[in-house]
Amino acid sequence: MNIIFLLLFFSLLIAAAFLAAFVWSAKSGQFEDVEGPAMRMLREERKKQTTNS
Amino acid sequence: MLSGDSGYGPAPELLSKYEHLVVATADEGFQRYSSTAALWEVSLPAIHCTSCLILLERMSEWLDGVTDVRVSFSAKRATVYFNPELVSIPVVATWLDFVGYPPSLIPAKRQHSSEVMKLGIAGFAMGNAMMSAFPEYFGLDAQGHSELLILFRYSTAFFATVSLIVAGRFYLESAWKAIRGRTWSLDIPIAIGMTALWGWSSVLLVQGTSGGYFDSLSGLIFFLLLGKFLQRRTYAAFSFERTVNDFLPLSVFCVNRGQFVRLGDLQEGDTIELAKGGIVPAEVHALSDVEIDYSFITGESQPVSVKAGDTLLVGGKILSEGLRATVAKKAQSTSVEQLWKDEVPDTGWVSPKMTAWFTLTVIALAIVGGLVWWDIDPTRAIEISVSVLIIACPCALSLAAPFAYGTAAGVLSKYGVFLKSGRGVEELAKIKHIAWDKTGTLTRQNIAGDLELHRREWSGELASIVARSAHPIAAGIRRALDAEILPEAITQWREVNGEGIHARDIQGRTWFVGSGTGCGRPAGPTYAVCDGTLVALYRPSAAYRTELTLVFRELEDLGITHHLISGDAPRELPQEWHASFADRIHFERSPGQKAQLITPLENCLFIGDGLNDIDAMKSAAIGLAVVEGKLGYFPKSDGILFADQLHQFTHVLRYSKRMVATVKAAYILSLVYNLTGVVLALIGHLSPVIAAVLMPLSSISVVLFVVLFAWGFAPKD
Repeated sequence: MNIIFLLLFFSLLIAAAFLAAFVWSAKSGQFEDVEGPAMRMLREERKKQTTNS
Repeated sequence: MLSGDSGYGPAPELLSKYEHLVVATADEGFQRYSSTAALWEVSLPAIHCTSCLILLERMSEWLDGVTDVRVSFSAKRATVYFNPELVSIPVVATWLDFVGYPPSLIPAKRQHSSEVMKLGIAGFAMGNAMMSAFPEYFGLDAQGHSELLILFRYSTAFFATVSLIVAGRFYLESAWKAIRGRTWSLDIPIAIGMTALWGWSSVLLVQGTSGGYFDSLSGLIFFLLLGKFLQRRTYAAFSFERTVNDFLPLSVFCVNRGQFVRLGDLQEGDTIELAKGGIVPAEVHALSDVEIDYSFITGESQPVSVKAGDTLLVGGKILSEGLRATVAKKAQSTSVEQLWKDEVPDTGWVSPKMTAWFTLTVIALAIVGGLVWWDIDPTRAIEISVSVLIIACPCALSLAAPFAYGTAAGVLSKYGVFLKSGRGVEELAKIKHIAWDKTGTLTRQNIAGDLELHRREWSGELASIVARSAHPIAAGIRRALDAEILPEAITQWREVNGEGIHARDIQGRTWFVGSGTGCGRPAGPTYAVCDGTLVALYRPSAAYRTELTLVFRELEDLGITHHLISGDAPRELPQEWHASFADRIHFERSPGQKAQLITPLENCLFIGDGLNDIDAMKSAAIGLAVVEGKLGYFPKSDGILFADQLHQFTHVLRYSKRMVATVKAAYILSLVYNLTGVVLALIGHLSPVIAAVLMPLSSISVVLFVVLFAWGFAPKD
């Protein structure tokens, strides 16, 4: 029975890790422009991009 | 500073439009990192396709000093990374404008990623809450595994509570604000539903009777947020075309302080410098003689000569080179902008009374439904009340009108009508009377005239001379001349206020274009003289727009009565207009009398051209200002109308009428949705989660309905 508590704990830990990753990506602005990157790849010559803010 | 030695680039005049950005601040998206690195984040509403993005992101290849550009396509914004030692914001702005992306200088709210984050957290909470609620649904039995059951129940409750606090807080806060402000907001039923669901579930949980409805609550929050998110994405796709551009200066060069100063910071006695073509930002005393074009505010296209020391009024356009002036009266921080912007706050499309009535009805229905169900099946009572509260949200009802009229206002811009707000469409549809102003509306604003050309062989030189002047008469001569400009032909050029233009051509001949006093000839017409020989004679005249005859007839067919209300001396109207105006012709009326004539007319549209008409615009149900060529700002008008598209005005009214009908249909559609939903919820066929899914769906479908009709009725091009 105790194994269920342990499993529950670990599954929640993993889920929380993914949640943290999501919160980080949302905060760093990865969802701000979802259409741009698909167009940007059509650019022929690529140059070094300055890091985004 | 500008790249390219070929001379290809924006005209220098364009730069003056953006000069004030020299003092850009963080509010305007400017950030300086070091003396050689800075960024400017700017809204570019014209961004619309892949090529836009590629062109803009390659800006560093065509403009020196720009290191990189990142475009945010969804937000229609660009972040320009540049070296402030090599290039300035005004230059960047000028180039952006030149390549077809005029920066929008109205500070736009930045999109927040917090919405996505809340949605993610709500989704996470819902998934986990559902997961830990499953065991009980699948018959986990309380006898053998009571500690497991309690663990699962409490973890469900935990996730739902997290979701309520992090993601659902928006609804609770908004409802609380409304209650504290003693207004009824549509978020109140939703907030009551959430709180009731949470409270009731907590009671059940603590009592140990059941796990409550925490799983439903987390699902409800997630779907409400998802709906809101999708709604916003849908609406962004229909975002209205820009209706009015803001060309007003925000700061001005202050000579005594040696820097650009915001208009709000100008003090009495400051000396400011205004460039040719600039707009007078505050009441000032001119320090030299100056020609002023007040056409922006008075509609009068003849420039006014002002002597040194005289007062210049806000809104005049400087026609002379570099004027210096002292500030006579401290500018109200945004007085210039306020002239155009509406002083009436937008009360929203659904009246507060209606919202209050609606909210109260919904809450009453939910309580009655809950009480009735308490008798039938007490375990479902709260759930059903909550479903009623959620499904009844009249979001669709409150969205139909703004979307229909907002889109319609965009469509109307194709007919040359730019409305300040979508509400104007509603007003236009109701019009029964049109009061026409004469000068500039029924007559042409641009000076037309008769040009007697005595020396056709010199018309190229004459065209080159007049083309350099901003004077309306010079512009009139330029239009009347059928000649190419010879850019090399003129070696000297000087404009004397109130007199005319003195010039010398490449063959050494002296030219004069101007009034009779400037060349010793009788006053009246404008002369063009070359070495004493009369080259051309120009007599400005104001001509009626005869193309309006047909428009008058069409409008009469729509049941509209025409009135002519003018401040001018009586002048004979074209014969074919007599039938349209009959005895409703009023000349020599003061602005106050104009207003008196208009006030008794119900649903009256006033079409005029400027400041003289402020009272008339105010007393009419709706006032439109006629613009010829140049865009200015027109106090108290509800919109502007391009003169060259006046002949399409019947279509404008027809389209407005159709849109009003569309909105009525949308109201009925959304009422049907709400009634069906409430009935289904009351008979117990709708769980709170399903209600949360259906609610945004109905809103989106109503918005789609009105927007598709708005486009469907639009002119085909």
